[in-house]
Amino acid sequence: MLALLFALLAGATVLAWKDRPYMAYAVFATTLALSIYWLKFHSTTQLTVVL
Amino acid sequence: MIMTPHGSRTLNAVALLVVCGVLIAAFIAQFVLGELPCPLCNLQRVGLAMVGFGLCLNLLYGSKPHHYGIMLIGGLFGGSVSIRQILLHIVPGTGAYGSPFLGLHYYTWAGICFFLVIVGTAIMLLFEGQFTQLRDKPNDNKFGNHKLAVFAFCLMLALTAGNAVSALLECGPTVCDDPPKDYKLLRELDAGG
Repeated sequence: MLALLFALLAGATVLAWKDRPYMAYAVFATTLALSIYWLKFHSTTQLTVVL
Repeated sequence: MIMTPHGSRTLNAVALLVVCGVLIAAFIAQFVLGELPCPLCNLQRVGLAMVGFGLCLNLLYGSKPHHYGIMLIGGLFGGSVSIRQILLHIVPGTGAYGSPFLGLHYYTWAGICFFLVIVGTAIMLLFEGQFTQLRDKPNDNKFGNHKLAVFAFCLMLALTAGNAVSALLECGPTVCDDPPKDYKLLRELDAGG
């Protein structure tokens, strides 16, 4: 669900534009956590394929 | 050398336009050359969008150290993804993903870009004058009356939203195919209809 990551980042940018920087930081932190999860997911999937 | 808030905004706007240029080049490779981005490629785009978010904050509120921190986090994340993908294909005979551009594959170029982002951000952090000496006036509007900043911000927002649509079409609401063969959501909608 990589589309969600972009959607969250776009949302964070809009929140910053609407003068809600702390909410924007929270959304960014959520995006980062989800991104690391998907990096781990896709990295290990690739590794299985290569092995 | 003293860097004024206006000068800092100009540099940040130019940097954001460069990030936008990389994302536009990725879209050209995807839609004109027909090279679908793999999941790790999409995660590298997420890294670029994170860097872009930090730059957007600098344009909106003026340069602050924690905005540069967000850029560094984005650069480190994107760099980690690209190094992971480079290592997947570094052994001779393990193939590559996508076609090379100027002798290097896209993920290698992405790794170089993220390295440059980290170096550039570290250099910008050296200029304390942009944070302490000449702050924006409180009644300045969000972009400090900087037209280039407004343009770069809007372009980055549009590209991030465009990537959300592109990733949704390619992966659908579930896990992305690896490697992707076509636009999964469109195929499933065609099959369903």
